[in-house]
Amino acid sequence: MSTVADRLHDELHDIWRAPPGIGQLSAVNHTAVGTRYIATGFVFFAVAGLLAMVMRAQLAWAERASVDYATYNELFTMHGTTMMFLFAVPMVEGLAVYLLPKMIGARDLPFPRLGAFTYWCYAFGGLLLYSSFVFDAVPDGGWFMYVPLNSKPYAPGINADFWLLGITFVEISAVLAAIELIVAILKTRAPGMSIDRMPILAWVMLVTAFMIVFGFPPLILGGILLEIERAFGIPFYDPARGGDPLLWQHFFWIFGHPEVYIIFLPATGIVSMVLPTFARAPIAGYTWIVLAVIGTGFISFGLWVHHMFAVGIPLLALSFFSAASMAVAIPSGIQVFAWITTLWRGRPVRSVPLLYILGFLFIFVLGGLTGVMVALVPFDWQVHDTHFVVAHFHYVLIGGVVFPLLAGIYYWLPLHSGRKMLPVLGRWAFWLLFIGFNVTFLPMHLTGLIGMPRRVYTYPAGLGWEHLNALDRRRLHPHRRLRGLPDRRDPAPAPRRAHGHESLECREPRVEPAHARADLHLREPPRVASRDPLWDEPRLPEQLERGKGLLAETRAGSAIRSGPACSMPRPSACCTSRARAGSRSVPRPRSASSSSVRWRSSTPSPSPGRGSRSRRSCTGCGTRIASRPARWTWATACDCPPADRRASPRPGGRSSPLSSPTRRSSSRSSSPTSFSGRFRPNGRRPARRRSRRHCRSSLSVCSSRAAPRSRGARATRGPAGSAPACRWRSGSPRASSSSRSPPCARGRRARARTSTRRWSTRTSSSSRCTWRRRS
Amino acid sequence: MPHAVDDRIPIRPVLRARGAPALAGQLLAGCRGSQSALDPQGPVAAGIAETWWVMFFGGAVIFVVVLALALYAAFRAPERRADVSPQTLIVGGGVVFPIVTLTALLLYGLHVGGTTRPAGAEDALRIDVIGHQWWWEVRYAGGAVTANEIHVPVGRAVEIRLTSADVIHSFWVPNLAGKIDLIPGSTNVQWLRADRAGVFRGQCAEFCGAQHARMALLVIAESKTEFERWRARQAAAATAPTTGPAAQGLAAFERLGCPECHSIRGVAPGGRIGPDLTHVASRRTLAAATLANEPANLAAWIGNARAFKPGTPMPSFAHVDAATRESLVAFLGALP
Repeated sequence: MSTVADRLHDELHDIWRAPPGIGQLSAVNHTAVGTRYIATGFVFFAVAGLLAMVMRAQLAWAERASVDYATYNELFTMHGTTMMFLFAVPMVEGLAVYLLPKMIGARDLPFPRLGAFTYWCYAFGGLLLYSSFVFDAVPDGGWFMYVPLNSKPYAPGINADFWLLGITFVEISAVLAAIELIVAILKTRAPGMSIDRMPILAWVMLVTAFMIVFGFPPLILGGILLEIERAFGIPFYDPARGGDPLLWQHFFWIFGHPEVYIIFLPATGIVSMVLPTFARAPIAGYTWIVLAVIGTGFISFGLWVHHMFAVGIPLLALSFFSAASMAVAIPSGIQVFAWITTLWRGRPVRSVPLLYILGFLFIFVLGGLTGVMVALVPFDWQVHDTHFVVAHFHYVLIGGVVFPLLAGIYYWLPLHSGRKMLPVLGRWAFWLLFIGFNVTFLPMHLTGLIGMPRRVYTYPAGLGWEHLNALDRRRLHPHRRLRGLPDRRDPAPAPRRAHGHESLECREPRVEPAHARADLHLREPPRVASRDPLWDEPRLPEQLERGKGLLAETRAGSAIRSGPACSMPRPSACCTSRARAGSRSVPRPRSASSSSVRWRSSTPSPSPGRGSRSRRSCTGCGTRIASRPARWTWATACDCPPADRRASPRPGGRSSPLSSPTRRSSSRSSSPTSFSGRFRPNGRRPARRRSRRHCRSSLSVCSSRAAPRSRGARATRGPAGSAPACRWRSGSPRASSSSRSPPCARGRRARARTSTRRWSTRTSSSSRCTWRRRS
Repeated sequence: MPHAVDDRIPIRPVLRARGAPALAGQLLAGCRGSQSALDPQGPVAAGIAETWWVMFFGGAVIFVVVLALALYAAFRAPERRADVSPQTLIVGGGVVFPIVTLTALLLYGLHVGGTTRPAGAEDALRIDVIGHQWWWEVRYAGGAVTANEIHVPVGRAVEIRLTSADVIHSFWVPNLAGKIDLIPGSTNVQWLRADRAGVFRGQCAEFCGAQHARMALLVIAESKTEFERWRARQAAAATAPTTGPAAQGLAAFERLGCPECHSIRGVAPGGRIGPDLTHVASRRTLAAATLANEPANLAAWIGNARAFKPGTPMPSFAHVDAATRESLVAFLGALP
């Protein structure tokens, strides 16, 4: 007998499932789109890495002629352009597209089609840029596209046009994705996830997305102006006709410097997400980190001129930008010390992601220190546009972005693939990468100081640069390491929360790999009571599997096939009172029993800090039961006959769907009292607002509609006999031992079956095994 | 490239005993060179080099301390770790320390930045430098015009006024000063002063197109008398040869259309697209410090300039017979 939760899961799955075959390209699910972003980003990363290898080979010794000047200029142009526009920004946005809805407990991004559009826009822009190889018109004016070098008289070919058009597509994609992320973070968080309980990555992406929204338009504008000048001869940058070449530099760098933080901040967010797991301690200084991230976002718009210290701006003006450039080291320092403090307070486990984070600290601190150096105006006059700067920003970008990204990949890939990785290969890869990186880039500091400028395709012998450049040549190139990454898998399925994650993205049920992707599509927002919901409520995933989160009605199955995205009234309309909710015109859930449910007011929780919210649960079995309003169903895993269900509205007359069952004498469940001390006081927010939040999160359901698909394929899934042993492990290092075992044996079996037989009919006993939900 | 490395300008390393910090002596030895910011030969570069060493040692200490803290936190047994409150670590390490350090550094940097105008600026020698793709035009008050070579008197402040004829370049002679961009349509100023005689190599530091890598120049610091003698000679017009292959060369020079781009004052005044050749034989290098100025190199350059600098506007004269080219070399070689 299938439970209501199963039915809702099934219906949701049908809606989120990608169509088969070529139709998969039409997928709008954030998991699919995010995965595409990340995969495409890594492809571009590998390509740009190959370009860099050719460049280093060319510079390995003096007067070498591996490639000619024209090829070399194309190489560094495409390397920089690809890394900045086609790898870094799409990668961080793709990671956010993939992870954020899972983290904030939304079923999907608020505008899934927009999300898919941004991906295709990005892919098209990238392909357009790379199609220049086909036409032998590869951009060769530098990734910064300075004018007049890239104006028509000095760049008569269409090389620069490829750059301008291709990159404009990518920029538009980035801005749209940023808007979607902002809306997602601000509007579709899970109930209870107040803004001060958001995972730090959500904070970081919020700031980053705002930076993209403000930072990219100047470059889009500047690019359009340059294209107009090139195509129609209207002078914006031509000094002979009243333009100013420095205008371009201002346009470019007021984008270009926030850009650096746009790609660096998400990496810090990854560190802040990954580190607590392996430090086995909550992140230290959450508020400090959030303030530091916001501060970085603001300051980053005030220091673009440090790319222009040598253009002849008076020293007094430069000193402001110098001060701002140094000031940005303060929030970075706060973050670094917050991470150190997290380690200090915890009991770190030596793992591959932690190794990457320590490597990140080493490289990033060094890059940050050289960053302070180049912020000093007179020193920058010497090292500007030399290999010192090349070394500096590779330390910041590879150390500060790629290493955390790899830590994140090692951390989250089990979530995606359902497989564990082999740590020994991860360690080898780390050390190769770490040593190779430092051998490559550390000597560049010195070559720059002893006079080697950037972007030179060759250099004469006798200046002392040969040995250092030859050393650079012998590096172990990092990009090679990446290719083997997905293969380093242990065939054993990863346990749920392979590392002991504490944030919501890891609440996904872990099923056998063939189903992993399908299951990731299930979106069942939980209720969030703290910053680390899975640490404070380690059984959350199981509860969600059993339908104790926010399950959505799919609006009468195929009836919405051609309908508009959402007919739901404003969020507040469904949250204020039962009376209003009941009068809405939205279709009721199809659950036959829900309309006959009566509610009872529950007793307040005995735990401190839980507040006195009312509970609604089935008085027959203690399970939370379906509530209204009808667009979503809260806790429907109850099979008691309707006559046994007795519930009543809370005294205030308003039924909170956030309430949870409190009946403590259920037959088969042991009371998980060992958790009671872990809940953080959360009585700050009035119930009304919480309810509204709750409803807002449901917006993600109605706004993200794909047409429901046939349910026929489902029948083939999940043979009943293939249930593996329960893979439950304690994901929470802080959970006491008593919390590690599920409270009832039948529940354990049921969960195991749930993991593998999601789509099969459940036995009534497994679905009746009652789970306590704590507020 | 058809020519071996030996054809290139021999870079004379500037090696001299200096009052380097004993601690860094070993490292410094590796940093000396005719194009090294760590081997300053004048007050402007010396001030910057000093900031580097201050920041290097300061940064090294900070780096070691921060990394030590991180490793301590990660690997020290939890029960044996010092009991420091999180607030102390974050506020102390992340707020107070950087603010104090960076404020001091900023003030120090402003002080150093303010001293980039060396003493004696009121009596400065003014030189105009105009950047071209891919060579440097150098003009002195009094009419001396040269290319890719700046002579300066030792000990005298020099005010170099820079602009560009085409795209943005950047003037950078690391031994003497930092860099400053040459922007078309505006003029920037770079102060420098050489305290010792020597030859210092400089190079364009802003990507300026195909031959950005081969757009170098030499700054030759010499005594005041040598400098004045040199400047007087450069200011004088050339005299036309009347006999021998040099005279034939002059005829060929005009016949081949060289004056469209190059000018020889007093003999064949012409355009400013290419370097002024009035005293080309007196220069140490050809083609923006790409080749040593020797007759063989000059002949090869005239024969096929794009073999040395692909993309240069200088056309190839391979179609001209060898005798004519030799006469051209003889003519240009007779312009001391």
